Amino acid sequence: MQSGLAIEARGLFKAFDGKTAVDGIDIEVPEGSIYGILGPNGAGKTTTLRMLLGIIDPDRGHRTLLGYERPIEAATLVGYLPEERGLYPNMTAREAIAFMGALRSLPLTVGRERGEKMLNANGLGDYVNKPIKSLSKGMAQTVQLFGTIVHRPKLIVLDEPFSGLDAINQGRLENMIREEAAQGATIIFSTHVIAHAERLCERIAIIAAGKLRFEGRVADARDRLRPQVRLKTRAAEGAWRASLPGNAAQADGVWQFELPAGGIEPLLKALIEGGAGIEELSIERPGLHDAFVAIAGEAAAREMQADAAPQEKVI
Amino acid sequence: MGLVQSAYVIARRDFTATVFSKTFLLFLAGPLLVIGISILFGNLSEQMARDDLQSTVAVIAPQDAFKSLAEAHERIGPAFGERKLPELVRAEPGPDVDAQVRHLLASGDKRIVAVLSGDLSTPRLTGSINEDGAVRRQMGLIIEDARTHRALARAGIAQHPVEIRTTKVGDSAGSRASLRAITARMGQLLLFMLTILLAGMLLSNLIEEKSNKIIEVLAAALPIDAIFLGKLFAMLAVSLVGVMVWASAAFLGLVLLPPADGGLPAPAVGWPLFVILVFVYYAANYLLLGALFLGIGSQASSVREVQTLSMPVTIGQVLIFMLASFAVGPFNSPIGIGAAIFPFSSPLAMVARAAQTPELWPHLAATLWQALWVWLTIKVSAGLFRRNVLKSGSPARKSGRRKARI
Repeated sequence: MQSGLAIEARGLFKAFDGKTAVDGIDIEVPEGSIYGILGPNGAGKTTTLRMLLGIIDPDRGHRTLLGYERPIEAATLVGYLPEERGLYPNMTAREAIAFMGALRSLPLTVGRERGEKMLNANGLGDYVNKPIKSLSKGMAQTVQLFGTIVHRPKLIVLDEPFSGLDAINQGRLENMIREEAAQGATIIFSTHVIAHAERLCERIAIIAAGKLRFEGRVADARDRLRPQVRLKTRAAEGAWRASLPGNAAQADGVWQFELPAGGIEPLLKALIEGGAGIEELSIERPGLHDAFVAIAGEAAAREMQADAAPQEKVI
Repeated sequence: MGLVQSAYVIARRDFTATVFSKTFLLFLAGPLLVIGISILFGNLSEQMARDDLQSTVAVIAPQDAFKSLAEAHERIGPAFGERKLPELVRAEPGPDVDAQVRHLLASGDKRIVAVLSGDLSTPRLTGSINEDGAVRRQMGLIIEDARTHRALARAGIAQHPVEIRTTKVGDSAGSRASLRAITARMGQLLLFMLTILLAGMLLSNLIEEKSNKIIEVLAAALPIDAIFLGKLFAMLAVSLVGVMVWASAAFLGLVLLPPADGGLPAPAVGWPLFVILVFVYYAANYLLLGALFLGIGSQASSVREVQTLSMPVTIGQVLIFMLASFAVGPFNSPIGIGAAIFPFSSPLAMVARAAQTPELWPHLAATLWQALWVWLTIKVSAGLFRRNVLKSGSPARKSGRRKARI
């Protein structure tokens, strides 16, 4: 393993019944970082995470997890929240947390103690001894999340952790992820909501149709696109028009174009000298969504948006 | 965590979740209820069957003639044991005997199968009976005895029942073999029933975990082999709790209601070793079948699929039980040895062998052989599980499935 990497994967390939699910994924997750895997449903995110964790073996390629070639050997150092949440319905909230800790070598007594503290600290003190089946879906999800981190893992793997949570709980989860990272844990999560990745991640992987389209820093993904300039002038015509790049487009009296390679200063000078009469001028750095569209394509971005949107009934 | 420790985490959870559940009480009470109901209904139905089979013969005769027949009936009756002689009821002779016979046979409220008329020298039996049937033969015996007694009494010859000097021995080779065959069959039946019951429970447990999506949490943390072993041994421990409860109930039953004939005959290897061997073979049988069911359960995603898949296995298990039952009696015949070697019938066949012959080395060999097959079955099942149970996350959405709000 390259030093300082919590996860390193090279050329991961997996097919099910002859159909390729993941095709040549390379991932590097630095220790202590928050890493996001972005892609629409069916892109291969879950399969990738399962291969990284050793739940399934890749057909080709290799991976190391916290330095271990066989991920199961690192199991006690890892916390995993699967996409499809699952708890024993008759277990109490505290027992469920303790059991998940026990799966990762944490003694039951310690797990119970920590579980109770976590529940109390998060306003779920009344539910410590309540069976999971009596909790709401959001509460049960929170309990499972506590079970994922009760043994204080070095690596936390979360598969679509925000799905099924309301806005308040999504905010809490974001905070929790930041806190865990601040305490030194490495966090990798999959999502089809770009905003979460944009707010949380230092590095991301963009996967579409089983293929890796981008892997690296969020800033690098955004830097793939030139900043956008928005310009509103008093003069409609004039010599200043010659200073605008060829791809400049006007809509509702506002010009929009990529920032020229020379930077903003020569442009400003030309506009002023050309008598444009600048009313408004802004330079907008592209967001991760724009970068995603540029990298994965418009179709993948539309799918992501649709996945993130609430389900609507077909009328 | 090591394999054993990992398996222990799973086993502990499954064991406590099962034993400390309300359904476990039902599980414990189930067989006791079934046995209790079987005994109750068995006795009732036996009594009813006896009553149904008990036939009545009407005798048209004066009181003194009937008395001779009744006394003969009393003398001969005990020799027939539970298969009773026909009951005799007297009817006073009327002017038209033929009409009286027809009337008696037509009377529905009595179980009259035949009517005896005439005197002891010229008896006539009329009824829906076979010429050479039991009623005809039994009535012949009664009449013959009555006539003999009457003739001897007239001749003034005193009659004494024959005294036979009886010497009772503990057993004979023949009786021992046939009695031990009963123990062998009981042992096989116990193993078979328990295994089927527990393997079914194991399967439901796995399906529940698959439907609750817990299996992925387990598979991410522990080796698949450990999950399998944990589940298998948890249910084995659960079954042992059940066996202890049932055995205690049976012991209590034997103390309170000791069987008149001394209960099951002692097996050839003796009771203590037989109990140990039953435990060992039960464990092997359960682990073999349980592993098989777990492998099947991992292929299925719903209870319906499990039922479809497990049906051929259950039928196969019944066939194996039948094969093993051939080992009761001719256990050294080719089929008996074959049943002992075939891994899935081996535990059942060997239990029967333990009941019938005191040799011990075959049990050592069989135990090692079965352990090898348990290991192989678990390995194969775990491989099937790993390959099929966790394939992918959310499927790709088909385009156009979601529509804009309108």
